[in-house]
Amino acid sequence: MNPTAWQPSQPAMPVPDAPVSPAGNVRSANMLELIGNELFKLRKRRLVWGLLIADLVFVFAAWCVLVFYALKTGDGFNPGHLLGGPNALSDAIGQPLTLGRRGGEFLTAALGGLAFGGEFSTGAIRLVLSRGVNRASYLLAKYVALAIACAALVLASLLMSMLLSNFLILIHQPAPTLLNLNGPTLLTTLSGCLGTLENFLFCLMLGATLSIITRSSAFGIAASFGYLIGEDIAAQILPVLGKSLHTLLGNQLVNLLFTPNLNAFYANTLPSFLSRGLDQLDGVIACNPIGAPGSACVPVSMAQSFMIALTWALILIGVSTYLFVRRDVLQ
Amino acid sequence: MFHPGTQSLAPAPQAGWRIPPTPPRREVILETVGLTKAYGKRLAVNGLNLEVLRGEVFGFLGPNGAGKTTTIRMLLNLIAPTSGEVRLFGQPLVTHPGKLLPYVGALIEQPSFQSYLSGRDNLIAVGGYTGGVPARRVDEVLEIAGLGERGKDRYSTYSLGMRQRLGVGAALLTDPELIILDEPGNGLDPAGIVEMRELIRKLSQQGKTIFVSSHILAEVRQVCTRIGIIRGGQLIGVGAVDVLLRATSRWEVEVENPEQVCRLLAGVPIISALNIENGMVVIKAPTMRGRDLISFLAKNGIWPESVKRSEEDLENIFLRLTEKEAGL
Repeated sequence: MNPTAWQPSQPAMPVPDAPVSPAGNVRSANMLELIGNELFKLRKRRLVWGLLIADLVFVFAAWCVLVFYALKTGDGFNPGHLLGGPNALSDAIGQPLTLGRRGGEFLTAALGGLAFGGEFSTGAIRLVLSRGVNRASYLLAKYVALAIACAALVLASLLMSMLLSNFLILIHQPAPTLLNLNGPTLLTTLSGCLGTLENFLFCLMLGATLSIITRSSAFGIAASFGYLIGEDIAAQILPVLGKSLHTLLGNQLVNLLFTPNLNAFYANTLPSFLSRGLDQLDGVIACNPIGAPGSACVPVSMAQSFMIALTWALILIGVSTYLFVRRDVLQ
Repeated sequence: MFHPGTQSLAPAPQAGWRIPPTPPRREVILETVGLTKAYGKRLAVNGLNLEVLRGEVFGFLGPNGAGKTTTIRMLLNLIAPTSGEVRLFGQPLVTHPGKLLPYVGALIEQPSFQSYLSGRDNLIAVGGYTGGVPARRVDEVLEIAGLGERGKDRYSTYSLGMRQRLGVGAALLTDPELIILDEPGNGLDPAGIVEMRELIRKLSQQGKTIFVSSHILAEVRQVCTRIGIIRGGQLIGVGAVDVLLRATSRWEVEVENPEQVCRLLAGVPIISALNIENGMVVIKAPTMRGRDLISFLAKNGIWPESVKRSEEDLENIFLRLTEKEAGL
C-alpha cells in the first residue's frame, strides 16, 4: 500500500536557522556548552561528592598507616628512610597519594561506569540524543568533564596530603613540613600527580567503555573492578604459571606481560624511594614481581610507558566512540 | 469510505449535497518515505509512508508491537533506518540532525531523567543540549507542567504522573515547532488526562504540529485532526478523524411505513446502503445531512417519528481494521 502517494511532494523548506522562541536561540549545543552541561550534572550529583570524600578518606587512612609504621619502626624520620633526608617532604606527600591511588582507581572506574551506563540503564540517553546532539561530541564532552573531575580528585588528594604532611611535626621532630617546599620537591610531587591522573583516566575509560559495550552501569563497574582485582591475583599466578611451563615462552611470559605495562608510566613519575616500594599489590603491571630486590619497578622508559598508556587510551576511546555513535538507542 | 490501503479518505464531491471547501496550502512538517527497520529477518517497520502537515494533531495508533515506538525512534534519530528516509521541515533528517532536532520536542515512552537531579535541574540540563534555556523559561515550563511547587524536589521522589508531566515539560522547553508525544496519558490520573488534552489543544491553537502516539482512542478522537493506524510495521490506514467516523455513520429513521421510505430513498445517489432493521429505515450515507433528509421526506409527505444519527466509535474502527489486516 502507498497511503501517501496521492499527495504531491512538496518543495524542500529551508532548514530553520533563527527561530523566535521563548527558549532563546534554539540550536544544537557546541562542545564547550556540552562540557559545561556535563560538569553541571556532575556538580549536582551527590555521588560524585561522595566519591571525592571517599578518596580523601583513603588518603587520610594512608597517612595514618604511614605515621603508624614510622612510629613503629622508630627510624622512619631518619635520613635514608621515608620521612628523613632531602626527599622527606616529597615522600611524605607522595606516600599517602600512592596508597590512596588504589582506592581512587576503583572510584574512577565506578564514576566512568555510572556516568555512561547510568544513562543507558535509566533510558535518559534517549532524551539527550533526541535533541540533535552530535553523539561523538557528546561522548567527548562527557569524557572531558569526567577527566576534569578526575583532575579535581587528584588535586584534592594532593592538597589533603600536603595538609596532612604538616601534622607530622606534631608527632616527631624534626619532620618535613610545607615550609621545606622548594622547586624540585614541587616538581617531583606534581610529576607523581600526573602519573596518578593517567592511572585514574585509564580506570575511568575502562569503566566507561565496558558500560558502553554492555549498556549497563552495573556490568561496567563490576567488570572494571574485576580487572583491577584480577590483576593483583594474576600478579601472583602468572610468574608461577610461566615457570611451570618450562618453555622459552613460559620463561618470557612475565616479561611479555609485565614489562610493557600500563602502570609503568605511573611508576616512572614517582620518586625513586616510592617506586621501589611498589609491589604486586599495586597492580599486575605496575612492576616486575620477580625483579631483583630493591630494584625500582621501572622496567621501561618514560617514553615507552607513555606510548603504552596512549595506545590503550586510543583503543578504549575508539571502541567506545564507535559503539556510541553507530549503535541504535534501544533503551 | 475508510479502507485499509486507500490513498485518500476525502469523500468524493456530491453535487447538490455538499461541496468540499478548497483545501488550504499544505506544508509537510514531518514525512517518512519508505521507512523500514529490520532486525535480522524481522521487519519492525516496513515501507512506512507518512505525512504530517503543519498545525495538525496527528494520532498514531497501533496495537502493541505494531512498530509505533520504532517509528518514533527513527523520527528522532535514535535508531538508524534500514532503508527509507525521514524528512523534517522538508529536509532529510540524516543529513541535518543537529539543525532539525532542536526544533522537535519529544516524549518517548516512559520519561527518563537523571534521578539525582531536581525537576528544575533536569530541565536546565535538557536545555543545555540545545544551547541553554533561560531560567524564566524553565520556570514557565514547570508551571505549564503543573510542577511549579515541586520543581526543586529530586526527580526520584516524583510520582509516575509527575514524571510524565516533566517529560511533557521537557518536550515543550524550547517551544518546538513539532512535538512528538509517545503515550502522553501514561500514568496520569483523570484530571491529568483532561489537562493533557487541554494542553495539546492549546498547543495546536498556537500553530504547533503535534504527533501523538496513543492507545487511548477516546483521547485521540478528542484531540487529533488526523490519524494513522499501523500494524505489523505497515500503515494500514490514514485519514481525518471526522471523515473516518463519518464514513461509518448511519441514519436511523422511525416511520410508519418503512418500505415506502426505502422505495423513495432508493434513488438518492449519495446513499450507499439502505435496509430495514427493527422496523426502522437504516440509511448509510456518510455525507448526508439530517436536515436535508428530513426536508426530503417532508416534501414527499412523510413525517418521521424520529431521525437519529449513529456512528461506530473509533475503538471499533481500530479493532476492525487491525483484525482485518491481521486476517483474524
